[in-house]
Amino acid sequence: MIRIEHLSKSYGKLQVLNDINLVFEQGKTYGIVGENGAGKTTLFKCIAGIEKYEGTITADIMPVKDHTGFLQTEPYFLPRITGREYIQLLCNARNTKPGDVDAKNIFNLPLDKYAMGYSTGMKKKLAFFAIMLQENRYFILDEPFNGVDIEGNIIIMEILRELKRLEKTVIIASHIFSTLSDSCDQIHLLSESSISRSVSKDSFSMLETEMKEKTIRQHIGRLGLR
Amino acid sequence: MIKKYFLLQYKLLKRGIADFGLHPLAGITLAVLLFTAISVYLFRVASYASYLYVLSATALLFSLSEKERNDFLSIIFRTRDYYKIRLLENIILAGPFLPLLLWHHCFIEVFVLATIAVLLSFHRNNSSVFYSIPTPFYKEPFEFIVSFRKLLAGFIACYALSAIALLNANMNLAVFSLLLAHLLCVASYNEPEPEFYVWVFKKNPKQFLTEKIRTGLIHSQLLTAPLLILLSGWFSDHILIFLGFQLLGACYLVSMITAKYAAWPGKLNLPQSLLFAGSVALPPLLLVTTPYFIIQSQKKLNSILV
Repeated sequence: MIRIEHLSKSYGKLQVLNDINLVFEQGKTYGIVGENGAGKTTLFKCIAGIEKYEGTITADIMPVKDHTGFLQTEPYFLPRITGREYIQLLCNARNTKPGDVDAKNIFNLPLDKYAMGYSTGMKKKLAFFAIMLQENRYFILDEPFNGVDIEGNIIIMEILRELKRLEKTVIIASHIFSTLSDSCDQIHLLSESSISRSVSKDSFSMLETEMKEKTIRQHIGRLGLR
Repeated sequence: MIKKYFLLQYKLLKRGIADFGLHPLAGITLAVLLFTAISVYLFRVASYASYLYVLSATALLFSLSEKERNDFLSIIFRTRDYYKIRLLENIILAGPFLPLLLWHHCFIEVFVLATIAVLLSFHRNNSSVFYSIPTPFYKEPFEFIVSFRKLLAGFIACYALSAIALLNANMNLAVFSLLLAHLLCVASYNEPEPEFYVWVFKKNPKQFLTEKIRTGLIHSQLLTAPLLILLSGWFSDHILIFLGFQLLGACYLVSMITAKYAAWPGKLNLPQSLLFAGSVALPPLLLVTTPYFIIQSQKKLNSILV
């Protein structure tokens, strides 16, 4: 379990997160939705301990960072490092052994080629694959489905179900609502620096409809398409 | 369009110098003075200076042929403008190397460098994406995996120089080749890694630094020890000199690793660069600067490692 109390974060005068209070329970999957720039990535970085913040973040295993697999929106790979070496590096960092990586390579990645030569989707798959081998307790997945092909998306969805079975705590940000509604137990809407709504599974479709209507009303109309 | 591109590059250069903590004009003047001083010194002390000069210029020219950069340029510019830009860039980069070569009547080297500059303007380094160069560092992949592949030509040059030193019984060149290999190892720690690559480690700052230093020393020894054994065996009367330089190289490496994390997540600023450069020039200073860098780096790492 991860408990966030009165979390606030500012960059100078710009308040990005304001008094966030959330609980992420063990064995559950949570979605975070919000417009671009709403503060999702900042929230994730605070939980992971990459950013400093006001407030408290506690968990049943501390420090959170040592037990968290963090998939970034745009994973960065060192130049001239192969997929296999990247996995080894991430496992070394957590004192775990990756085991038979070839046997576990369910994404069929070309592990002996340089990661910088991978396509966008392959880079995402590699970063995802590596954190799965770190034996983490918590997972923060920032846009895990972006750029990934259909087969990859199906595999990721299945892995999310398996993580739930293994009692892991998973937090996901995604702009593809269906991926969240299929995998999450609860979705939090981050808007104007705060959590404006928290919705349980039975109300997901209502939230999606509301978000669609709001988007169409506020944005598409302004475009004045002819 | 081309003029605007170079004006933008000049603006970026000025920003880079300002980030380093210098006024752009002062930075450019300092760079020109340093380049001139090092060049004059090199030609005064080394008979092979002209070859090193061409080699250094070629390495710099290669860096401009990087694939992603060239792909981007060729997408945004018309083909003719793209080649004009690449040619001009290479001429600008190779230009400063030519006056001293001409002054020393190294006409063949001038011709070779000019030819390389023109030919490389049509070249893109794209082969590295399709195959990976094997390295002995796969168990602990990080800085040395990257630098070994990036600076492979440099390490080969070190071994080639040492071979020339053996054939000509040139002790100075032998020492230079060993020191150059160590400096290439030090260069592995030149670029700061993004926060994620520090955050991901399940270590406190002290453990993290200790591990970085341990790995760095083992990997640098793997690269330089064959050179040390070869040179010490050949010039057996001077074995202590080679061992001394081996130890000095290790001290430089430790200092560089700690300096890197004292500046992290940014690059070394001007005072830190001067401290490190001063220690390289005057090694006893390492006894003061390295502990200072250790304290500073632990403070910096405290923000992300617990």
